[in-house]
Amino acid sequence: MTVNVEAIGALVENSGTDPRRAVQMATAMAVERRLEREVLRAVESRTTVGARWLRAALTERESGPDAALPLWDQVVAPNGCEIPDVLLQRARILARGGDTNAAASLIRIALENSREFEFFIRAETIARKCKVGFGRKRKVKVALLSSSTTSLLRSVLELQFLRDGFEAEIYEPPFGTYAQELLTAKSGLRAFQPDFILLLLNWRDLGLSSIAADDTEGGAAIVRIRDLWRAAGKLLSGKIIQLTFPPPMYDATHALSSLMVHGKSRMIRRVNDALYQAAQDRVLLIDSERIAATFDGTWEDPLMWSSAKVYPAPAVLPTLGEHIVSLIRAEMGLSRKLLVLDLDNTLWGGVIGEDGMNGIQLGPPSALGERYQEFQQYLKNLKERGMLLALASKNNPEDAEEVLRRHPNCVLRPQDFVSSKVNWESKVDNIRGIARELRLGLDSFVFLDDNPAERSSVRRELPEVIVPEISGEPAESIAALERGLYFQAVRLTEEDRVRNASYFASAHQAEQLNSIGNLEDYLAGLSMQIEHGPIDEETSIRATQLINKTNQFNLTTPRYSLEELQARITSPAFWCRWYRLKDRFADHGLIGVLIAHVAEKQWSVDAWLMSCRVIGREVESFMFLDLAECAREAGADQIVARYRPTEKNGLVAQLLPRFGFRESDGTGSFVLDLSTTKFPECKLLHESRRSK
Amino acid sequence: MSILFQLNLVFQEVFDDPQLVVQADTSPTDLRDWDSVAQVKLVLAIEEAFAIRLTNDELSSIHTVRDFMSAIARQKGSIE
Repeated sequence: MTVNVEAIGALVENSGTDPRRAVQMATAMAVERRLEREVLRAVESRTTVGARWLRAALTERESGPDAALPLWDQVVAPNGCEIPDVLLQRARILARGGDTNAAASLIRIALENSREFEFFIRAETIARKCKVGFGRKRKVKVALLSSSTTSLLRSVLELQFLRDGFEAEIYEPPFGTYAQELLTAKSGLRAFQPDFILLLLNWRDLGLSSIAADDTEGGAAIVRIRDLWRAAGKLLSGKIIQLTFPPPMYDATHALSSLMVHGKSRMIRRVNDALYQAAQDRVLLIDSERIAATFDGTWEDPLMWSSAKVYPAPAVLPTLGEHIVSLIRAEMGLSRKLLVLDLDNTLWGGVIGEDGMNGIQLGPPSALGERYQEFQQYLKNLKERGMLLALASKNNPEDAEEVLRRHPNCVLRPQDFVSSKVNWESKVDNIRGIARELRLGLDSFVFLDDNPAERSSVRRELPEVIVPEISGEPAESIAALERGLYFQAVRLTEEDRVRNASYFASAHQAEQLNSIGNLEDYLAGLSMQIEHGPIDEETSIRATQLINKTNQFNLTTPRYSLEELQARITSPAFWCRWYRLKDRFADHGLIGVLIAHVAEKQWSVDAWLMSCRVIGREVESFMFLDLAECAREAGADQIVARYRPTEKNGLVAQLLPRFGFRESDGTGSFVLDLSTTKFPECKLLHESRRSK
Repeated sequence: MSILFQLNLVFQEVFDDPQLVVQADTSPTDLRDWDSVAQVKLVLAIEEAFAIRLTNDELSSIHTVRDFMSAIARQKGSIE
């Protein structure tokens, strides 16, 4: 075959959806035959992705990175979505020019939107080079214990942690040594003291026969795993992340494997079930069976297992890594809380202002309409488990209202959105407005919009917001949310269910405030009722959740596990209280926790935190009053407390002085003399029940 | 296009070095970053690039670029 300009052009233009490889070859061929200029001229006016990609690549070789950068910017998929490999290339250029931050933000988008293992390999070197640009705000220590090699998983996890702003330290003992690491007191694991311990085993470790005679083998496998958990619990304070067991990918007993009571598949299912029953607060389980069933490929790769002891298949690792990292985020209180949505071509097909009620695609008989309806149902389910939905859409408000109220197939109704900004203002301003109104940080937001221009401006102006790449095809929108697991949660409480009502009230209040003006009158009109009591078994789960996710109104930012909290509530040396707030608009649920260490003459504040939803409503004064009165009644004459500053709790820097605490030595330690304290008044809160 | 030519592109990508040039007799001793983890990554990237699946025997006997080349040629059905 003679290689000429035409052949090179044809190579990239007919290269399918991912022209990366074709462009690479075409570039190399053009360079080898010194045809760069001719090829460039030939593709200049072409608009296919391949042609634009090749043009950028050749221009970079011919005229340097600066000339190529604007061309790279224009290489996007036909549906307007960013292409991960192109983002990497742009990042390489920016990093070489010294702009590590801009490079890191492009890599972040790429890592957010690809779950291809080979892509993670390609991203590794450049991502490491840009390490500082990602910002490393939170430390986390993770141990990888496994009966297989974890080095590939480690590479993937390191990138995902980097992307999410973690400074992750990973401990990876030789594979197969997990039991020794967990069972010996002097192991490297013990010295490392991980926050999270991943236990990645596979069906081989269960030692199950093809069809067993009885339950013995299965029972032994369960006991073995529980013993490992117990051993970890004795030596370490970190949480365990355990993968459940998908059945092996081949089984000569075929259907019998499940039909027989002691068939292998059936036994494995029972082992998994037993793990779920045995898992306490310390153990987080990853449902590998579900990942294996929904993953586009096989969970196991027999060749990779036999040649390199890799399990599961490398192709699964980015998805598995995402599950692991999302559980860690959830456990650390970093899951996203609110999803901001666009309307036209995101929640329904078509443009309401042009197509009208009968023209948009939503529900049957159109297949696309059915998928939009299904996407709405997915969002509704998200909302029902406590996530918040909001709208930021450029439409005539009446048009949007009409669909949300009256369209027979519209699953989401106006009351499903805690805030609704349907207008012609900029989305950036609208999203900022939503954050202000609901008193939520932008780092708890995800934004879904089919319009690439809106996505890119939100990313640029509000980098904390996660903006997945979607084309508007509803199946893809669902896939993007499933891929990112932004709204991961590890337990569900009653408060999760009522949270929507509570934020609703927040938004409503913000509206009222605009018109009322006088805060005190307004608060008085809310008929707020506060309820409080000692933390007990029942309230401890919600209290733990609040302790671990409250960042702003949190005096010392302690992070307690359920066990640690339970140890406090059963000890006479601790005074542990919960507070709950209701008003005319909403039941805000359990929103405050105050814990003090009790000694005869002196009480000391161990934890003082409150949900930021209820800031400015006298709740903190009420909590202080409760503490001070109880301490005085118990015969104490001093309360000591500390303020431990973090990036987010600047809000409470002045809390202690406000109530008369005096800083003793400039180290953040404060003392309150109970005999001279003037107690604040709480005029606005009505105490509805007091239980001692 | 020769296998080596295309293989070189994969090496450049895995080691993220557009200047990298490998020869048939290049081996892990010549490339500092070519360790056992990189070996697995190379195998996966090569399988993707050439749309092949290397066998167990091939995986355990590959030590140089030449070994990759002959494994690929064998997989593609060409006779050496």
